[in-house]
Amino acid sequence: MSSSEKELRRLARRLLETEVVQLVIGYEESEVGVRPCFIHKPQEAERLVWNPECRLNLARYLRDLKDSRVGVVMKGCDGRALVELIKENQVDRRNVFIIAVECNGVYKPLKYGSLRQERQISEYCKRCEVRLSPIRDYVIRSDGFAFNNASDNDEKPLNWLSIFRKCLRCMACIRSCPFCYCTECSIEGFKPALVHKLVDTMELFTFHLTRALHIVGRCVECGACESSCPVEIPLTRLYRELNQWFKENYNYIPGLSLEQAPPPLVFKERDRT
Amino acid sequence: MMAWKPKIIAFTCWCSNSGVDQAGFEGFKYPSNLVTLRVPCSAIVNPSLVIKAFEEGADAVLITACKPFELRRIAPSRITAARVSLLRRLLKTVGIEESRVRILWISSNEGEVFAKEVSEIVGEIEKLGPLDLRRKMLEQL
Repeated sequence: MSSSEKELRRLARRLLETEVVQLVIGYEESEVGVRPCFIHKPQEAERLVWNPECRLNLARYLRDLKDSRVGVVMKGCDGRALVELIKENQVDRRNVFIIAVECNGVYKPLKYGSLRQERQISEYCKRCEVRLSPIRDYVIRSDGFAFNNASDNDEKPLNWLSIFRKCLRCMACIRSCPFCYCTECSIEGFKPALVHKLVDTMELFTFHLTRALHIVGRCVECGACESSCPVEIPLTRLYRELNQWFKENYNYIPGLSLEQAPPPLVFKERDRT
Repeated sequence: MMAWKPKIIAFTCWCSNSGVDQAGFEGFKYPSNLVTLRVPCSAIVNPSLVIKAFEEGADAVLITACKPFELRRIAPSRITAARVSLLRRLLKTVGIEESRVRILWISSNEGEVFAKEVSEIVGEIEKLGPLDLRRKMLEQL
C-alpha cells in the first residue's frame, strides 16, 4: 500500500468521524480493477484505494447528491469537470470537500484476455497538463507509480467517418460523461427522433457529431467516454480538436478557473459578427 | 443516367426569405436545386439539423441571415456566425470539406444579390462533387 493511499484513508476516516462530510466518494477494489464506492461510516474508510486504475470521473455523482455534504476523491481532470459543473450551477461548491489526489495518468482499460502486466498509460493522459485539481481543499501528493510524459506527437489523422461506424450505440459515453446531465437528452428525446435505436450506419454520423457539439467548450478531456467505450472510439481526440476552436477564438480552456465564464454565456456589445 | 446536380438545403430567416421572394418577383434566376426552409430566425437553426441534413443526403447547407449591422438585435447573428464557424471546424475534423456549410448575409430587398451569390455557391459545390457520406462511412478502416 502506497503512502498516498494510507493518507487518503486516514483523511476519509477523519472527515467522517468529525462529521465534516456525510459521505465520501472514492474508489474501491473490485474483480475487474476498481469501481466507485460510497462510504458513510468511518470504519469503512479502509476500502478506499488509489492506483492508476482509477479512471472513472467521480464528478458525475455530485449532481445527484446536492443536499448532502460530500467529500470526493478527485484527479486533475475530475476537478476541472467539477469547476465547469459549478459554473453551470449544477453543484454547490460549499457542499463539496475536494480531496485532490495528484494524478500521474491512468491505465487503459484492461482488454479481455490480455495480461495484467502489459498495462499502458491512456492516450489522453499523455496529453494532459493538469495533474492536480484546480480547486481543492486537501492535497495528497502521489508517490507510487511513475508517469511517462513522453507524449508521442506523431498522431495520425483518423478516418473519423469509418471509425463512427464501429459504434454500437450503447450510450456508455453519455452515461459516463459528467456533462451529459440533461433530463431530456436531445439524442434520445428529440421529437421527431434525431437518432433512432435501430442501427442505421448513417445515424451514427448524426449521433457523434451532435454529441460533440453539445460537449465542446465544456469537455475537460477526462477520457471517461473513451475508457468506457466498448469499441474504443478515441472520442477524446475529437473533442480536443473542437476545444482548440474555443481556445483560438475565445482564449477559453474549460475547467481551469471559476472566474472565467464559458464564452457561449457571455454577451459583449462589441461582438458584432 | 441523369447528370448529377448538387442538393442544397437553405435555412432562410424571415427577413432574408423575403429577399429570396424578391429574387422571384424581380425575375432573377437562381438554380433550382436549392430547397429553402423558412425559419423564424437564423439563430434557431440547431446545428444538429444541419448535420441531419447532411446525413439525409444534402450536398451543402446554406444559412441565410440578416446582416449583423442592420439587425436591431445583435445576438442572433453573432450566435449564427459562431455556430457556423464551429460547425465548419467539426466537419473539417471528421473529413468533410468545410465549404459545404455556408452562411450568407441577405437583407429583404436584396433579391439580385441572393440570386448571384447562390449561383456562385452552386458552382463551387458542383466543383467539389457529391458528398456521398454513405460511401465514406462504409470505407474500410
